[in-house]
Amino acid sequence: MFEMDGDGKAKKTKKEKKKERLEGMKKEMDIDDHEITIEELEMRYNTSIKTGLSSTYALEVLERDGANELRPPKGTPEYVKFARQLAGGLQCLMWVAACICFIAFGIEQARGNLTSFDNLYLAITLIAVVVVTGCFGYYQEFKSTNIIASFKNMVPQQALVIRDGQKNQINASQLVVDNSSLTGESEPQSKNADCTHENPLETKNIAFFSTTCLEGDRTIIGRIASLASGVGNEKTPIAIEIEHFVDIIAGLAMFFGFTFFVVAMFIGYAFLEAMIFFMAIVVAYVPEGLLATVTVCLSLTAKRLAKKNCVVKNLEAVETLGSTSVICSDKTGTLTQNRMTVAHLWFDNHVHAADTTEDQSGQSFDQSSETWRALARIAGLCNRAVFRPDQEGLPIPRRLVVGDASETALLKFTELTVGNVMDYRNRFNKVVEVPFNSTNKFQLSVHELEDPLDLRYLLVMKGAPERILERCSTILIKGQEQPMDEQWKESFQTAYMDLGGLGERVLGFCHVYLDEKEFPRGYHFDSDEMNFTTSALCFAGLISMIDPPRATVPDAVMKCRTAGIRVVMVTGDHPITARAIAANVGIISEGSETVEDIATRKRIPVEQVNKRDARACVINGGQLKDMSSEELDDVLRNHPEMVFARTSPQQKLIIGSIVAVTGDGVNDSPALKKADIGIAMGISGSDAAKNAADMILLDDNFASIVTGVEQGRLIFDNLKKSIAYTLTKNIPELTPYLIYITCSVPLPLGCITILFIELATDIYPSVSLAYEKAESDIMNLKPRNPRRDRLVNEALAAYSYFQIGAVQSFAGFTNYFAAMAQEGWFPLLCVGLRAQWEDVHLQDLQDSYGQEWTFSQRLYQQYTCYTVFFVSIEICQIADVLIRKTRRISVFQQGLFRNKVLVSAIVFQLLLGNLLCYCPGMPNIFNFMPIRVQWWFIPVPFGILIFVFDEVRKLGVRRHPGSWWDQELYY
Amino acid sequence: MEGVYVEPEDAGVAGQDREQLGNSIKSVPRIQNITQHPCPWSFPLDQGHSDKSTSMLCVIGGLILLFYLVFYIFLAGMFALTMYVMLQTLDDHKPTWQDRLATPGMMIRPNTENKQEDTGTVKNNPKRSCQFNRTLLDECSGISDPYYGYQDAKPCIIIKLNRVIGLLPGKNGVAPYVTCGAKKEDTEKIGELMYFPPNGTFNLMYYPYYGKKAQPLGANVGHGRFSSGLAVTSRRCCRDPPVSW
Repeated sequence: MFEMDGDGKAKKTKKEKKKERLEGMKKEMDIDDHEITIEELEMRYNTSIKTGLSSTYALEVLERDGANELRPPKGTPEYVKFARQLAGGLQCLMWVAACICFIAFGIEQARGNLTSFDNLYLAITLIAVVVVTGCFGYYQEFKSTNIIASFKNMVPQQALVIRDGQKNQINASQLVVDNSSLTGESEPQSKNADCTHENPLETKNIAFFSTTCLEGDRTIIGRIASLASGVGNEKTPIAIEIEHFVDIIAGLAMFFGFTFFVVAMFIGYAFLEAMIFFMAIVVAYVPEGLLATVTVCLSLTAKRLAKKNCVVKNLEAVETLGSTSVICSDKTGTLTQNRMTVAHLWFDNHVHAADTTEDQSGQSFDQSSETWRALARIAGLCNRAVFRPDQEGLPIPRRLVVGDASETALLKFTELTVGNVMDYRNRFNKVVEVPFNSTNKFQLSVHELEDPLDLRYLLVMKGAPERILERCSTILIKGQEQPMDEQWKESFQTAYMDLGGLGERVLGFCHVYLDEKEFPRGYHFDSDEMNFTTSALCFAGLISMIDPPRATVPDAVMKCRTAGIRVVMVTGDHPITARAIAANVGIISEGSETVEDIATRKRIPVEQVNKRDARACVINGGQLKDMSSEELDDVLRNHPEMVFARTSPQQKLIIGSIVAVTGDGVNDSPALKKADIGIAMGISGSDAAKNAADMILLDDNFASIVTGVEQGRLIFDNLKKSIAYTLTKNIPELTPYLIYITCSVPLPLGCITILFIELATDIYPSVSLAYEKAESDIMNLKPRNPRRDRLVNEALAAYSYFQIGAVQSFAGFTNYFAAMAQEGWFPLLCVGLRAQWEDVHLQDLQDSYGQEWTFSQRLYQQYTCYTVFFVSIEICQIADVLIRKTRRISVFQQGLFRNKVLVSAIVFQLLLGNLLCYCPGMPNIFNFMPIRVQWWFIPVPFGILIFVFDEVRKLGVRRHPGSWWDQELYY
Repeated sequence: MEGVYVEPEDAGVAGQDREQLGNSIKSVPRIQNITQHPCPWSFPLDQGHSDKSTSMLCVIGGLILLFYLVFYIFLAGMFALTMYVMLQTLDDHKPTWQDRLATPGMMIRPNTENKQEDTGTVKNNPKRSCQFNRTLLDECSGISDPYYGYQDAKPCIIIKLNRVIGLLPGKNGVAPYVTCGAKKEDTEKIGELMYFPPNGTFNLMYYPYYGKKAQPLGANVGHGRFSSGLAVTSRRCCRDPPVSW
């Protein structure tokens, strides 16, 4: 005992430690590298800006800290995965039942009853069912894990570094300077020496991953990855539902078992006998077939989803998506294309929209203007980005480019609109260039002209619009230079504000022909001194860029809204950009305003605005950090349209507890893991994200989520039907035993027969319900409320057990008594007959006609009763599967035979039933007797009753919504 | 970090949003929250309470009880009716099917608990019955030797053909008979076999049996009275007790 206590303590402290570590990780990282001066930084990391690390030191560091790779997440051992499949709620119930069977078998054996192996068979079957379905589930998981494994991109990435003063391409496992996967930003940020933001992730002067800083798991990205693997797995809604329903089943089983234990004791059975009755009832109540049904239904849907490019890693996640009420989507890469694209141009005093579609299928703008030609020339020349070689075959938008995001966008844009930029640049020989820096905020280059006779130099410049404007004295309108007066300045301002308001990054462009005399050929241009004209330039226009939304997203977002699902955007971007994208894809719908919008419109301070008037809300990371969880709750409640901007990965985790999360970056992985269902992008997603996610969209298409939601909702409805169907027959399986105990009739239904119903004949029909089409337009309904709309609710249990199940029991007993009576045993004689009937030594028991029966004759008669009862349940279950097709609308509206699988399942059920009854040898192996054909028809009226009764029920439910009928009988 | 769960319904504006989305939404108004009854008789499947007035819930609980009452009465009625109709189709004298009784069973144990008296009359109404006297079994009748020869190592085995209505044993009027033999290993141990009545035949006059109703048992007539029977006894007992026969 003491030792155990000690162990417990040790474990606890370990857990606490882990928790602490995790909490520590969730906190913002404390790095001041971006705040100190370059010199200090150089000192700290033994490097220099100019020459970089010495290769020996780099090797040393590499050895010390390990390669710049994430430690692969510790894979769950295969046997643990398999064991997990065997330890679900239902599985545990069945293990317990199997144990009970073994105990009952032991008791029987101990009492000298050496002939009865039923309990042993039952125990073995129960175990077999658990193991077989476990294998099935394991295989499913294994398969989807394989799909994911095949996705891992094994191509090592190269990086440009300064080592020993030389620029080298080195393998990225030694270095990576792309923040995109870390912060969700759409570009590797330009890293410069300014401290732009106190958050190390947002600031521009720090390049994570760099060998000079931290390596491998000690990088920020490494911390995030381990944060992700440290976050516990949340239970899926369906797992919660199944647990809930196992509780119900187990509770009812115990209730019935105990009641009849007491009854049996009261009647006068021996304690051991009553104990066996108790166990038998509990076992009879376990729905053996349900596990297989649920597993198969879920994997059918998973398969259907896989066809639509959603790979489900965890079977249960299939349903989770259906109950999703909020989708938190990462912006970059999920909602947007994750590439900067030129969106708008402003020249000739007009805003022109560029084509931002992924496949360049959109409308282009009027390119006839001279101004446009000048603007395109500046954009093409004043650009340092170049295409990687050997990419002629690829469409332009997909070609790889060396250069930063804006330049890439401009390069691709000019290549698309003008064409052959590289050649163009060669013709305009570059003389000098000044790269962009944050003090100047512009970039310029000086070129020779194409025309060899024209000896002027051309200066092209691009940069922050206001800085460009300062340097301009004229403006190009329709190819003509006009003086930059106040009017033009104002229209420039308007255009700039407009484009900026769209959340786009705006660049201004200008040029000037340098005076031939002042700057003759051979003039020495000095990029540091800038010994040339940089003012009184000619303004050409503005070009704005954005990471455009994917084409399919707005439609998908709309569908989600119709389905009552809130789409919340989470991004590390600037609030304005975030808001613009959100408005673009419909997350903030047309006409919705944020608190700030209302304040501006009404010209009142933000504080005076009633927060409830604002539908939309943009919250940035700083605000989120200061919010208590109640405040956050309140905000989420008040504003249906939410955008979280400038959030750090740690904060994504806070938001991540809302149901579904989509994302692609490593930074999203903790949230993906924490969410009820994490959805990762298959193409652009990082491995960490894919590992953490439950579902992967192979085509990166947000619209696939909508398909997933639809399938998830459908499977929830259909599982309900399947479960209702499966549960129903538990009652006609149980009542024979109860009557056997209380009325001492010969046993009407044996346990092998029960197993055949549960695991053979009824499996296919219950699975076929998974193919049922949706009853109504499920995508127009609200997501289910996990607290109210349970998978198995009281109404479902009561309706299945006490109504349909009761009818089935009556059908079984009618058939049982008919078969007994027609063979010579009248109902009243049967009551109380048990002791004599089961007396092995009594070879001449008289029936109602005075005929004498031997024990084996009686036994075969008992098997006949089993078969007759079996047939009754089968016939009623056919009616049952037909009524379960719909829950609300009439079966005829749904189409009685539309579900072909269901029809074939009924045929299969009948054929299997016939095979069991009439195959020679069955009586002695499985206790099935070839019964009289007439007995197949005795339960038919009860089947019709079930069908009619359910149609009446549905009619009442449809006619009187909200009435007691609806509440009690709609499941 | 506490998780935040937001019910979409609770965000009041979301509701408006849905209304705006058009009339295509087929959500049917349902009074939620009334799935649990605080009434003592309601079935406690789920925990949880609602704010609705208890009385209203009890009305619903009452209604559902009434519903079940009517439902079960109807089912029981239907069951009784089908039972009644089924029983009406049965013949009083002969069971509808005798699937299990094509071959009649045999009893091989003397029933000593039921002492039979050979006196008394036989009810011959409505069918004639032939009396089976114990004296027919002679040494094995239990009259002279209440131990049926077991004390003398000459055990009697009484073989009785179980009664089956309408059964006519034997072919072409030849009465069925029994011959007994020892198992191979017991050939030497078994003594002389004796049959009562002689030849080990079942007298055909006892067949067919017309059933309890046609041939009711007389008040003082014991067990086996109307069945045919015969007894076999051997001089020496076999190695094992006779039960193992």
